[in-house]
Amino acid sequence: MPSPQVPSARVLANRQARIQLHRDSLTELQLGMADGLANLGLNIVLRASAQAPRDPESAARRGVPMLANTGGFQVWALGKRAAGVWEKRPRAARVPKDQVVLLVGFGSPIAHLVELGTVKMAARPFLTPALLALIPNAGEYVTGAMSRRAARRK
Amino acid sequence: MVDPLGYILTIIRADAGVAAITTRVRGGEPAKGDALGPGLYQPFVVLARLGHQRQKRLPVQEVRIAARCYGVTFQGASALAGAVSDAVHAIGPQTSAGGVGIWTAFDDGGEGTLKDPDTDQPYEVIIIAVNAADRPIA
Repeated sequence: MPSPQVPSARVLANRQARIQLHRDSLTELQLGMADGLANLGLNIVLRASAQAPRDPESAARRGVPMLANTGGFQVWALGKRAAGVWEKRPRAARVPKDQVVLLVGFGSPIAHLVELGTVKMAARPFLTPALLALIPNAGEYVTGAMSRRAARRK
Repeated sequence: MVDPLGYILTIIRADAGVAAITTRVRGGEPAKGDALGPGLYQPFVVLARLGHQRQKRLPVQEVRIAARCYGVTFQGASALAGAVSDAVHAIGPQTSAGGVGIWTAFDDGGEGTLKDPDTDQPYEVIIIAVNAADRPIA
């Protein structure tokens, strides 16, 4: 089976341009909450990427992006995508239509094996520690962004 | 700082529902003879500590533990995961003989049944969130 190629910058840019964000129907406070959660998601991904194991040679040999480079996030507000870098919603994710939801993850097919371990490889968690480190500050991310939105409106 | 993984392992191993399926409950990695090839599968559980978050002002920590529940079949893996969940969900407060104190523990969700990439054995993961004391309780 041929390995999938790493998308070029042009393909990635086109894909990014195709992502439709539905921000018009959201209130300023909901947008503020979405912006705060997007910032939190970005920081979780950056922190987890820094902790993720790196094996550029193996990734290059298999023609796939390195695990540490496959992180992404999405923010869903009232059932609509409000921010994020993923084109599609992860299949298993549930997004209630009355809430603002942040999804963070790594798209590599080996991400869950590295995080949770296998019978021959001990777990090397990288996402959970990043999540646990930043979740206590989630309130600051959200209230800060909501305050900035509210101040802009005045 | 106290690591509650050992106490959680003891609780799971002592649970009658889990013991009816397997007594092979391990911490960190499988023991020799647990993970066998196709046709020789046997149920076992591996607990792995994913991370912790320590309260700044209280002697309390939240520890997240992944329980990989291996079964002979997909249904067996799900049944074992259910038994492990029943053993640890909504327990506490309780203290081990060694002074490890658990305030509460919950099954915090998991993913569907998967196959191990090395042996193809079906397994299901549940995440256990444990609120525990960060120091021994006398």
